[in-house]
Amino acid sequence: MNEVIVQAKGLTAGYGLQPAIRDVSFSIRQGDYIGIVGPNGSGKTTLLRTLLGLLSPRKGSIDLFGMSLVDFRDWRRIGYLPQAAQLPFRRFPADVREVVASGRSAGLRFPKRLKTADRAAVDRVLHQVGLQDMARRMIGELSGGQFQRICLARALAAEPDLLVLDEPTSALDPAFREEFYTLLADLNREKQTTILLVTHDSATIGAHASRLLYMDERIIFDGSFNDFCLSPQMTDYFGPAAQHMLCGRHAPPHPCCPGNDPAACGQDGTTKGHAP
Amino acid sequence: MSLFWDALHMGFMQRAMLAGTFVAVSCACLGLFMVLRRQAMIGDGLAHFTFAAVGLGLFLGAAPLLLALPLVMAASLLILHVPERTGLLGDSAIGMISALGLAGGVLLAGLGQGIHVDLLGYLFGDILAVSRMETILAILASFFVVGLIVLNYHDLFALTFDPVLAKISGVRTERLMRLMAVLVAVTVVLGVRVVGTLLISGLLVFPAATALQVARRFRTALVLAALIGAASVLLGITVAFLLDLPAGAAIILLNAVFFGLALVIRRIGA
Repeated sequence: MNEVIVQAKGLTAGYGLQPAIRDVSFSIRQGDYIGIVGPNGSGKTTLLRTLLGLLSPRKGSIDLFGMSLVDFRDWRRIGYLPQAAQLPFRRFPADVREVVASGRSAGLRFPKRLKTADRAAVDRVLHQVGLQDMARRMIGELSGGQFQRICLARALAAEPDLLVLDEPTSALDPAFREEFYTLLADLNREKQTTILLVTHDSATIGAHASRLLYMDERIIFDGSFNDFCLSPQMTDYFGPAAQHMLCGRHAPPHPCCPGNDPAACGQDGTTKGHAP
Repeated sequence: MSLFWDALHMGFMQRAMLAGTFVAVSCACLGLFMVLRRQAMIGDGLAHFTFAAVGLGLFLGAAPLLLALPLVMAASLLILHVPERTGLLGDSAIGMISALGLAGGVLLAGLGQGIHVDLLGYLFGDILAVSRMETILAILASFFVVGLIVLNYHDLFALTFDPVLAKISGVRTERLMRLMAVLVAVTVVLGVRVVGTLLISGLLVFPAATALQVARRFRTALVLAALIGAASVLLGITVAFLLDLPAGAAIILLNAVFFGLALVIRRIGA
């Protein structure tokens, strides 16, 4: 059994008076590939921000790599790609390479210099995200999608053990989206990189992740994608038609949805254009 | 011109050149981070607060700049922490501190008999009256600023690029931001003597803005901003002496000329 690298117990956290997440407990083992799904405002991003120490929990505790979050200092083991990474202003004086390298150089101990191996790692991740030809382009000259890839490369540059990604494909074109999921799968398989990914694309993440967490302030479901789709609890929660929309061909057969085709299935459980 | 060469041998002129250059280098380096973090007006806010602190010093009969140092440092830390505590944006905190400073200065000028004449001197600066102690402080502060930047270059780059990502990368962002806030405060207080309360933000913003027009890398922008700041002070004092102009105004106007030149260079380069 792999080592537990994240342990959350009874987490309650939020921004205003109402908590965005309540009594959330779960653990992540090294090598897990976990997708977090749920509707808007269900607390997915809040959960990530709390796990990363960007938001203090009102209740509960978090351990990272066997240490309490309060005492945890080895941040280079964690790579983070935030939701809608913001392009800095147009004249920001840095090229792509410098930004990606900062994922490796920030937080270095004295004498804080990048060595040959560091530079090689930066070249490698630039190649992985397909930006090796843009290494000398100024950061302000990039599109939103290219910038998202830079931020992903920055997160990968330190070769983290845990990769935390918040809706990472929102600005990516479909072609790179597929490459992106392949890249994550390779990292997870070959380097045992643990992946924690928030997305709205439950069907795609279901095809890749070994485990799915469905959130709606609390964790409603924690298990494999197939179990998620076949779970009566989920059918009760969403209704059969909505479950079809989420699960596609993985969903249990539904009389209203010929051929289990979610595109043919209406939101209210009816076949499009037909009465149930 | 020979009068100028003669003046260069005088202590007041040497102190002006030295203190001015070192303050300009500190301002330019710190200014680059402020401009990139959208806090360009922090110099203005702290300068106005310095006005009140100096007024308090004159009112109490204490050394105005020495009294101003801790008070402006506290104001700078307040600007850093008010947005965290209140959810306001940083520019609101700067605006509040700025207005509070001006109000305090005006109030003290009204209360203290005769101090408004001395206080006016701080509004426009008097670089030729810089003392030996102020010169030493300016040199020390400048070495500290440059040393901090060299030693923490990667962390400062990450912090400026994105504070959240920097924090997750292991950068002690809060500590670094507090240190920067204190250094900006010290530099502004010393800079008030050089160009005055009303013009100090020009020394923070202009060299950085000029460097950003042409620099493509962070390191280049830092070096260029420092060189532009130093050149503007040395040339500004020279021009002011030769044409009998106020030095502070000449320094800032030269900075504006440099900015215009950088824009032209960028256009030609494009």
